[in-house]
Amino acid sequence: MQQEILNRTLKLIEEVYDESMYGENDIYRIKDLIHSVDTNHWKSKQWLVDEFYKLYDHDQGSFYVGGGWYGLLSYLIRDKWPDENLNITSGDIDPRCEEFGWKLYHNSDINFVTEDMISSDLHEYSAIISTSCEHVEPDVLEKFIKSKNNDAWVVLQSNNYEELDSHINCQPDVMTFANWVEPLLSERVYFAGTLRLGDFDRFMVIGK
Amino acid sequence: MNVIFVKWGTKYSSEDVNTLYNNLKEYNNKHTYYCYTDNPEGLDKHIDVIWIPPSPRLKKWWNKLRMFAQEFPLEGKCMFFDIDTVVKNDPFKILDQVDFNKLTILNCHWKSDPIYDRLTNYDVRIASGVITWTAGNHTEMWDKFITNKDYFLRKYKGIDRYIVHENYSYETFPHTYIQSYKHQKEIDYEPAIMTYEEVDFATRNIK
Repeated sequence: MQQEILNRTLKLIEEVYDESMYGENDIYRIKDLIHSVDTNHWKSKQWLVDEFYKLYDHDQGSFYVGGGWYGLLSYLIRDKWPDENLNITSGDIDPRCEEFGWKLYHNSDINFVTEDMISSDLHEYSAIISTSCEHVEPDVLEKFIKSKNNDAWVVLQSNNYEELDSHINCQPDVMTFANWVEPLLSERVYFAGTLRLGDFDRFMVIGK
Repeated sequence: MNVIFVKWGTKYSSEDVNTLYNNLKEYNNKHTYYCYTDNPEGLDKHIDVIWIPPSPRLKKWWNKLRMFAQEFPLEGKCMFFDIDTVVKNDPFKILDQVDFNKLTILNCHWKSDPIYDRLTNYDVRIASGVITWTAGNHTEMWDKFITNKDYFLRKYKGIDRYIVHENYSYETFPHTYIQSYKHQKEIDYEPAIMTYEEVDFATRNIK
């Protein structure tokens, strides 16, 4: 399964390269695609799916992934929840994420959309998820969390990798992250954990 | 004319800004000097403060790009200097050659390696250490950036590459305007400024 996704990623990389020769020149996408399926991302997202599966305890519902990038998380969610009554929407403000998402994960029954994570009505979802909180403005993240239904789950990941320019909202540790999230919830935090990934840590908070 | 410095974070101090301000005002104290910053503490009282907005959060050099946002609160001719610029001769003498309707930027003419001629080359031959323009112009650079900010932050290390690879038009200052501390130990002209290009700020020798 992992090999199939990596093969599709290689095929897409070829398309991006061909496009750079005859159309839009954006070969950085090649690096971005490679990063999107690298080991750390795979581990972090599998960790989310495994932990959330224990808490969610249903086969049905609808999940919204905000800042879903090219769709790896949604793909892993589908792998864990194969029931077609579990709907998955992956939103990202970058229009190429929708285009590439369909190409990479076309048979995973994922709805890819181009939108800001706070631009659509999130009340219909049973869980809202974002693994890219380190990229998101605090006020946007707050609005994202507050826009869910009271009984819906929220699953968030951030990290302490400050070095990247795009990481504008890192967290020093998981407790700081959980303490920031908790007052925005209608119930409480049910899970807070740390995944050590070499030179940085990834934090996850799951609550209602 | 507006002379602008951008100070974000802790890499440069207010004292560093004051040093550059004092060097520049020796050549012209009629200009209005501004510091666009998230922390104005310690700035010379003659430097006007423009606060960097808290949102969207931007790190380091990306705050320079925000000078091209429509809401940047200045009007008229602008000249920006990086804080690690060393003034060697009158840096304003060049202004009578500058077309303020256009974006004018430093030309790294010492980057002569053929690698810069490759179509796929990532690094560029310009540097945004000094920029001239008219406030309110070139806002398309910010407008495009903000529509897909996170992707551009991943793609480009700094605004120089963003300007070139996203195909914005620009002019450059004459070669004799600038000397590179790192790459031009000996030169046969008298430059207005010297640029340090990420050399440790503490090593510069300036009065």
